[in-house]
Amino acid sequence: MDSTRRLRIAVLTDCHAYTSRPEDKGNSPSWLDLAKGQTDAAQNPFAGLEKLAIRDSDVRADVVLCCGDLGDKANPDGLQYVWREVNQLKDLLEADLVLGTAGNHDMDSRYVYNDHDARSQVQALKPLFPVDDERHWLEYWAKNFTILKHEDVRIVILNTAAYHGYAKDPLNPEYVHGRVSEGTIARLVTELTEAGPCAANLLVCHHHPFRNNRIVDQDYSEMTNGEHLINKIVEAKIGPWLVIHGHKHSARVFYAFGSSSAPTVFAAASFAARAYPNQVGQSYNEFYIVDLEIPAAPGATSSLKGRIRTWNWTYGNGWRRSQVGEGLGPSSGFGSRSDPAELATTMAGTMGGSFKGQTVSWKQVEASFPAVRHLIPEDLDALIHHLTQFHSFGFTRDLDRKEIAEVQVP
Amino acid sequence: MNEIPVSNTRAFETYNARFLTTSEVARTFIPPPQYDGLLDQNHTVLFGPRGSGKTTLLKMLQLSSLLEWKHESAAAARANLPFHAIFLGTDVLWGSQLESRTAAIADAEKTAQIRRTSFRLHLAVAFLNALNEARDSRLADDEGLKRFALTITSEMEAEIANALASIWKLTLTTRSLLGVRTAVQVQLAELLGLVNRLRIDAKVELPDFAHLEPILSITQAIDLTNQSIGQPNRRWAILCDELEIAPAMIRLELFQLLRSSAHHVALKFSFFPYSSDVEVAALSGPSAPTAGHDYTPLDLTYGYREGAYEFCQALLAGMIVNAGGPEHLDPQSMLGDGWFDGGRRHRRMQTSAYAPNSDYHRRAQQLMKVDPSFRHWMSQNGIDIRHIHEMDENAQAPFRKALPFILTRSEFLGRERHRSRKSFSLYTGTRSMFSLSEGNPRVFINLMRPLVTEFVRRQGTVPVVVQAHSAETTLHRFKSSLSAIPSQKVGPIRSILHLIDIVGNYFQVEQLDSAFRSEPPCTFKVDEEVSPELLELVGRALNSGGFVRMDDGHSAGVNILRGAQLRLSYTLAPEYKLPLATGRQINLSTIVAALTAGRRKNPGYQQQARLPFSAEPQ
Repeated sequence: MDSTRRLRIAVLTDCHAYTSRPEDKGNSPSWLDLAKGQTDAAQNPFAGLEKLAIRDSDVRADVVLCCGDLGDKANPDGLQYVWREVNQLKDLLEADLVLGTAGNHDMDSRYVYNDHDARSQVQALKPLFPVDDERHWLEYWAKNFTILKHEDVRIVILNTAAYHGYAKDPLNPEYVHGRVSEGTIARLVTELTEAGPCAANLLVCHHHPFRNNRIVDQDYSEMTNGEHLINKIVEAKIGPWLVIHGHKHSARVFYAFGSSSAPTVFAAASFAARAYPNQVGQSYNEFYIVDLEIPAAPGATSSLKGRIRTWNWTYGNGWRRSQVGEGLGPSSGFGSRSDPAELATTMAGTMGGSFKGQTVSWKQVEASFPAVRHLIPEDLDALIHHLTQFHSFGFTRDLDRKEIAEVQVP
Repeated sequence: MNEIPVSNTRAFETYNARFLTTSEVARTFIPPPQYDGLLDQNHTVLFGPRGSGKTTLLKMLQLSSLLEWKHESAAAARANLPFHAIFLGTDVLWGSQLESRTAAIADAEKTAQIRRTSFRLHLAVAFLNALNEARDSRLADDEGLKRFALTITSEMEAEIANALASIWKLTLTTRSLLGVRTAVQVQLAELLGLVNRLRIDAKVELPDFAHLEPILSITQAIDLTNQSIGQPNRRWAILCDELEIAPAMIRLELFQLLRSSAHHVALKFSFFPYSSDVEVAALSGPSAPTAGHDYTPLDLTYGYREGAYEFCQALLAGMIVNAGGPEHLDPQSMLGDGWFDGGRRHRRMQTSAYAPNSDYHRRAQQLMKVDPSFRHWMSQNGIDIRHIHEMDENAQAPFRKALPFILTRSEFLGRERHRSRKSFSLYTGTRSMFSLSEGNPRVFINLMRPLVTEFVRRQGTVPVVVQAHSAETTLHRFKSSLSAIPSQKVGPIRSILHLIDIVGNYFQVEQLDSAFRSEPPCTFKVDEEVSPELLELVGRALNSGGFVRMDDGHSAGVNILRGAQLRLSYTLAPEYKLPLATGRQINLSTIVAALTAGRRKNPGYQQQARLPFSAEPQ
């Protein structure tokens, strides 16, 4: 039996809850409209998640993580509603801990609800936001980050919307992008270095540390100084990193720039926001459970490994496991930085000997080549391409999630 | 996904069984008497209107359903099952949607071949589903079903996959049953693409796979699979559900197949009671399949209401247990006795149902006061109301026969003709409520669900007023479902509901407005004078459950409607103030002629008859 310890992290982000008004026209930002009923599992993503968790005992987590933008444009009702719902997931998913981090929509940077304090609504949330602990709460709002430890996993919660509402330049408003200041990076690295190596490190923030032009051609909303932050935490040599963030409403798992020790980055799509007009057909509402394998000891690995399961929500249907081709797909591995072409050659050599002419289940392939389970989706696609193109393998996908189910060895 | 068992959330819901999983169907399945008739290797056709449980019955022949079924008859059914069932559910792709998508293709032969191919591909998927069912490891542990369990080794699977790929002209990515299934899906996607191309250019050639014959390719697949699994004599049954919505061409081709006799493949179809194209085919000569000879017809309606009682009682018992009530309950203790129950209470109490002060006696006496024609009839027949109970059975016979009409007349004829209230209470009580349902599971569940809830809550007989309310709700729901069926106008008859209204109102006038007769008309014959258009409309009303067939039409020929004896559904009896009884037959053409004659004499006649009675001229 697999004795690997795991931390299951439920990830939901960018809920954008709001209250519609009869006179509203145009696009509504989210499926979470507080002026409407909140109990229909096919119409409200939280109600749907409750139904899903009741029916499926695999929908369980140790930590519930919300990466910001609880309400839309700092809507106080939206903030309170989402944070309450997120906290209720703790019991539903049998979790130990609920964590959040602030997004641009959680700060009243346009002073709609207050004429001087952009943080007032989010700081007033009960339970305390982003973590229901007085010391961590104070740290987060004072230093723009706080560090926790859970099950041998170090979790850094970083506020990348810390300066929203406070910058002066009207031509370059702060709220259009994230930021981590030099001072914050320096303090964070100092604390991490003093604490020493850890088997697994998790960085949770709202904004993406790198520019993401995958959907929108011109993306300027990334975290200013994000690359610097990533470089510094890698240079600190205190263990492997997984970064989880929201904001872009577009899912992707990839490796940061730099060496093979660069963090794995998981960009989570929105839990409930409606697609922007330029994202229709490309943006999905998703809920995730990250199954993070906790390395046996600090220094055991340079890349955290695990898998992410994804559920997809559609209005009228509720939550179901995603299919390949939708957002992140039904599941994604991470942590194996094998060269897909070399791995394909190795597999073809080995399987061509032992399974020549046979149909082999993908589970069997994963058991024989464990690295396959930890390939990120783009590497897995490359592996399949190489096996098909250069080694004449055949693949059949299952009919439900369209994942690879069987391999025909030539 | 690890499914946590959810309590019987959808048990005894009135969903169409089409949308339920096999385990959901099996959880609450109560076998009607027709079920046993399906458990043989003969070809069978199930005839039944909407909601009569056709889909459920066919689904309950599948291995996966039988495995989950917990009923006391389940073990015997599992032991007697002679075949491995391939269930082909209705699918819009081979149903009417395909019909409309292919309608714009100019080449008729290509259109036909595309429809056949779509049917074939869905049948192929159904066959693969059936094979998968047999691989369920739980089958081996079931005494009755273990003979169907299949252990398919990877070599065997590759052999079957190669064989199927060869006869179905598939390109496999992997040599497995999943690979076959995927390749079939690919063909289906190609077929849909082809439909779109053919709509623009009729010259586009069909691919090879679109030239295969549906049934031949499935029987070949069965033969080859039987060889591969080492069971050359394994028997199979192809179950085609809801053939009424399949393209007419497929329906007719399947119907003709009933003449075939591949000994190891039985065909089981479910079908509406009437279909004009099948009627035409059935009358087309010696090559048409014959009921009782080529196939066994099973009718899911009950011309005579007594036929449904046993099933209704079992269904009610199942609902009560499911709602947390007691097992083995006498339905009388829940619903009491009814006016149309045949005097069961009196029989239990060993008193004469006609003795002075008995319920029936009081009703007759009440009618005597207000209905001179009834007084006249009584005296003509030499019946003295004070002494009926002392008369011998033969002498009582006319009164006994007339009793249902005495009941409705005494209920609805007041000092002023037709008292205004609509009385549903006359129709309450165990057997009357059973009759209102017509033994149709969907109607029955609608009717009984609130009563079962009430019974379990109060642990006592459900009051008449609650039963009456449920009967009224069920009637309205039934009427709305009838009004939703599209139909073409036939002369002055606007729709199915209008036709039903005409017949119902005619019987009402005959039974309530005319002088008392012991045998007023209650049923009608689809006589020779009925036009083909009206016949079609009658057929649709029959399919909707608004009319019920009285004669055993299916064994006489195929479902030939002309000459059939029909009655109005008992579910509608309260609407027209009719008794739950059958009686004399009248020609439908006479009823329709009365409508036009009435119009000629008094153009407002028919409209008036449809008004609530309170609004009628006194």
